[in-house]
Amino acid sequence: MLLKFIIRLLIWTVCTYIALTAVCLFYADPAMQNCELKQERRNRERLTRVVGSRLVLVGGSNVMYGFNSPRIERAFGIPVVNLGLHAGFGLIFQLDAVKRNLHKGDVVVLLPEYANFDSNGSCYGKMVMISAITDILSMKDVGLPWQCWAYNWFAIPQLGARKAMHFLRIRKGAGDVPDSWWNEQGDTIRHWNCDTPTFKPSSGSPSQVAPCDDVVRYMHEFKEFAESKGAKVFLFPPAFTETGYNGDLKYYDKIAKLMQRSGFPFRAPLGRYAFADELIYDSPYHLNRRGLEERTRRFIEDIGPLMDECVTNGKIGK
Amino acid sequence: MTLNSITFAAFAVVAFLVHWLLGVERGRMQNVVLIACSFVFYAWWDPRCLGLLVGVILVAYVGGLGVRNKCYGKTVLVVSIVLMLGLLGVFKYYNFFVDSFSALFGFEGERTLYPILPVGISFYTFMAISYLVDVRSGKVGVERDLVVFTAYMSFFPQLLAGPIGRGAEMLPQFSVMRRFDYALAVDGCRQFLWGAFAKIVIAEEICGQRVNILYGHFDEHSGASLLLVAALYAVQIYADFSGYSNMAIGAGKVFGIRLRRNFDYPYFATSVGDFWRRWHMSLTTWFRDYVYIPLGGSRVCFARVIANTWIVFLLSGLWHGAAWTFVAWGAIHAALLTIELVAKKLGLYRNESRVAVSLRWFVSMFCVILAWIPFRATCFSDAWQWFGGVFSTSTLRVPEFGIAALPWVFGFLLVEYMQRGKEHALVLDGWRKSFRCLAYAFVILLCVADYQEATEFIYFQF
Repeated sequence: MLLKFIIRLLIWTVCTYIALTAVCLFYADPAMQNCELKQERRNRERLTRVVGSRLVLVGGSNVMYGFNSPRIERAFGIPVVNLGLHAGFGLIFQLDAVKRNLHKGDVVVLLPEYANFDSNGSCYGKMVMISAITDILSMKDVGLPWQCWAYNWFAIPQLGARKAMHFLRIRKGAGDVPDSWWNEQGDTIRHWNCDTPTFKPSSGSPSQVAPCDDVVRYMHEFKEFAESKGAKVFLFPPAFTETGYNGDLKYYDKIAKLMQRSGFPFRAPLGRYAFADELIYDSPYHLNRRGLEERTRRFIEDIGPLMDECVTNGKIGK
Repeated sequence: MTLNSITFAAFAVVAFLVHWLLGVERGRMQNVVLIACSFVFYAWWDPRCLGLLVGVILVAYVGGLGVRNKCYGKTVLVVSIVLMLGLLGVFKYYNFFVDSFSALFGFEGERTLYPILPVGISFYTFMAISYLVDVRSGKVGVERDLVVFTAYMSFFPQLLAGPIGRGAEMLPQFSVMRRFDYALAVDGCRQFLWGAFAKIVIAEEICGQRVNILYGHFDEHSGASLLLVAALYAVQIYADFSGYSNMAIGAGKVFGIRLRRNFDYPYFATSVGDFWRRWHMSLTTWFRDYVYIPLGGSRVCFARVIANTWIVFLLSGLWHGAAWTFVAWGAIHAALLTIELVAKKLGLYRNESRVAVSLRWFVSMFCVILAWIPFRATCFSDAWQWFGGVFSTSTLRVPEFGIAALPWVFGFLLVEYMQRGKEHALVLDGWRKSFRCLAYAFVILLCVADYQEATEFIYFQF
């Protein structure tokens, strides 16, 4: 009877896992077709469509909520593609998107959220990444290492369960959003006229762990690949709340030193992109209008000499 | 690890296999495995607290050996109980009493300790005390086998948040070799699943999120919304705690151990007294047997009965947490029970017509819901604000917040009502197998969809 119990439990577990995984991977949820994730398809289309040298901004929503790209375009005379959308995609997914559409003369700026450096595998992406792949893109649009799937071993069937609930009308999806939330370059502009901060950042508790080495390896691999294609890659700090940054200085310092030691340093001090509370919008990584204009100004100042280098070396043309 | 975590699922699978495979035809080995698993489980929370658990077990074991002695038995009993209550007092109540004393007499300066609050301490110290008193009174025999006793005291499904076990019911189960019972294990899995659903879906996803959004923003919402959210909190704490209890009982059944029932559909009670006969039954019977009855119970004059009721409920409030809001919650229930006792004495409860019973149910549950407000509030000012909102004219309108939760809450309560004669809502005997499987699959689907890592149970803080 013990064996019968174990076998039955095993059958239930395996069948549930397989069924929900199949729903996740093979069913594109109609409820998600017009949600915020659709911007991922539009960003990739822009990356394919814009010819010549581009300035490509890579990161999560700190990039989407943190730039005035038309201003950058005017400063350097080069089209900008803002690929920022969701930190939950993980850096590896974001780098994979760029790899597929990299040109000679491109300048790629990596602005990863600090969460990517967590040792819990955040760089491999979360459920939102699986949703983007299965609902918005398709499996042939991505080429991810097995770790991205392994780290999401529970998120995949969980997403399958949520899709099933949408199908059965038990729960609603994320809701449709208009294309007008973004400008042509991929910056989100829906909050540009909402300057009042709606979020009170907290300092949180200091991290006890060391940052993860995996993300360093992937960034180096990407850099080598990009340079072999004739592109240039720079690493910049993400926009972040000053309160949060000051609350865990030691950890962020560890991240900076990790990248320094690896030979791929941040091109600006991390603290320079930690912004006061009144410049924050609705989450520690999102800037309001004043905040993103200030961030854009600092970014133009910091990347200017690097762009000049690229021009001198014949990488891009103004 | 909590019972609703993936880590626990992996741990439980290993514990199950080791327990039943290593313990085949070897009862002692089964208990040894359970002890090892329980210690690992408890140390996972905080290894520093393991020593405390072992200490309480040893005090209770040694005390149990001596409490029946005619010469010094009473002394042993008193010393053991004082020791255990002392531990509880230091870890749980020291700062509370020092702060309150200082506030009362205007003392200033830092006098508090910052000890860790060992999870489950309120539960296993009460189990130990009940064992000692029962041994002294002869209700249960002395357990001389330390392995059996330790397995009983440390049994991991009940260790953190009950049900508070009794020696008379449970020690015999640990004293014999357990044979795998297929039907019991299957029922245990179903009960565990229902508990997981109540915790993950109802308590966390449906009710908990809405309560947390509204809490602290009382002036931004109408009285109707505040009242609705108070009701949602009542459902949240029930789903959370009964969910844990069902998961613990279900896990116990898988290991061949029957834990005592902790909830009997309390929101269908038709009076506050009836509510307390159905809510957290292992605690209420503990207070009844070890506080109320020794004080005279109901066999004394009416004024003493009222006084005994107040003592029990003030202590019960204090047991739940070292804060005056919990004491206030206990006081509210004591007051409600006093009113009921007086009303019964005046013959106001004789009418058993459907209308009268329904009215009693409505009024009782309305009062119980309001009583949860100070329980949830972190300070009296928040509780006053919440009450103030509820008792305002803005209560007489349609709530603008929380309505989306209602279909889920009504559905949950309806299922529980329909299954109220059964031990738990997933006892579906009599259904066709295909419909049973569909029901289980649906509940699993909801649990998987709404699962979140690292959510704790409300009663862990007690």
